[in-house]
Amino acid sequence: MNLCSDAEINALVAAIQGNDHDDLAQVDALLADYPQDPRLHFMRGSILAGRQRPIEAHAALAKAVTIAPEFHLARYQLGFFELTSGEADNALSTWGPLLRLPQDHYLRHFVEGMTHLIRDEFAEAITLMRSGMALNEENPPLNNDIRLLIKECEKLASDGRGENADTDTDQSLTSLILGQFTPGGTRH
Amino acid sequence: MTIASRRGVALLVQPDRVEASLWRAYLDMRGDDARLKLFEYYQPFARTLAGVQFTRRRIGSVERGDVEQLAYEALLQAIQRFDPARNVPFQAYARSRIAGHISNGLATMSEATAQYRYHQRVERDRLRSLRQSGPVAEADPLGALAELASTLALGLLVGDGEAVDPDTIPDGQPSAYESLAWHEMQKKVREQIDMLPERERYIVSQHYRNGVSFQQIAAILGVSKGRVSQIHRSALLRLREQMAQFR
Repeated sequence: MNLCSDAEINALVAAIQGNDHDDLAQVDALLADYPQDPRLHFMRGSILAGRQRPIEAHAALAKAVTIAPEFHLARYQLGFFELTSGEADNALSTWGPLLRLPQDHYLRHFVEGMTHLIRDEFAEAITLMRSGMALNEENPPLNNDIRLLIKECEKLASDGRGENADTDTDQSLTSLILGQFTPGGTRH
Repeated sequence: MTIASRRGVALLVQPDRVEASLWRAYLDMRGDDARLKLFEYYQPFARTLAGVQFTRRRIGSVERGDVEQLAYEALLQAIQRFDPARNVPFQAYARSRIAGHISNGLATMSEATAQYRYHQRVERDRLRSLRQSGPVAEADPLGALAELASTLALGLLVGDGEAVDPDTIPDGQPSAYESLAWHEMQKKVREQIDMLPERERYIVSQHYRNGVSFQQIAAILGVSKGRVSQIHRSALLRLREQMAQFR
């Protein structure tokens, strides 16, 4: 598989983090040379998600996972994208292989936490998302998003009035899928 | 409780992605179920547009139901022709088409005959659906007629605020008790509708509650109008059996 260099990837990540409006064109240019590089498809999916182009975003994230089934972060984000699309069953199916990760892998904890969240089991969801955060050394900015999610879960768990409590959180949670590439986001 | 209605999922779900998800399903399979879900998703939008057009035009004898029919026709066409890859929001794409279709439809429709034709068409469809001759009907024509009448009456009960010709009301206003009894019965019928098999429930609900014609339901489900008619008949007969417990 012909993959682009780390230098090219780093330049691309810098463009994305710098809110460079040309970032999609840059990814597409690299994809023309490296059509089988799953990282490029993953980045393309993240950019498109941020531009409210969800159909193409999903296709790009799915392509990344198809090319590289072991690309765990892409798989996690694809499942998360599906969950935010109201496709909980598809999300669980996409995340399935992540449940075979070692017990101490942060993504496994996050996925198990989300699985409880889907069932409205907020206490268990919070516990697992917290333990995932503690284990996550690879991807600290993702913890910020998970922290936001935990906060919302705590509201739902404590007062049961969470149905109307989403006004302030939509904006923050929208950034979840983009956590990788927002300013200060994780470098891949 | 369905997954979509859970609070944890609701916390994360984003409407634009849900809409995109329906289109993805439709693009992947072009299936009837996917088209049906899209139609249901945008049906309130089409109904609202119809309402706006109806109010704005103050069209004499044309009923709101006529305008809604035109809106649904245009909605179906728009779903089939829309290309989500172009990144134009569907509602922006469909809005002018629905308004244009309503305008054209009404222009070609004589105001005086619109309501009459629509109701005739709907009633003819319903009657055809229910009137199926067979050995029982031939052996007992009076019984068959009674059966037909009671099934049609069920259809009337299911209907939501359908206009009733005043001349067909036998004697004066219904009493308070009769009104109450009618509403009670309507409530029971609606509960029974919810217990019908999925496809029967869909057809009865769309036809009687939302005023979608057999022709359009057939287009949504990707089946023939005759098949919709059969399912409609089966649904009303099943409803009648279910309602027998309340006699």
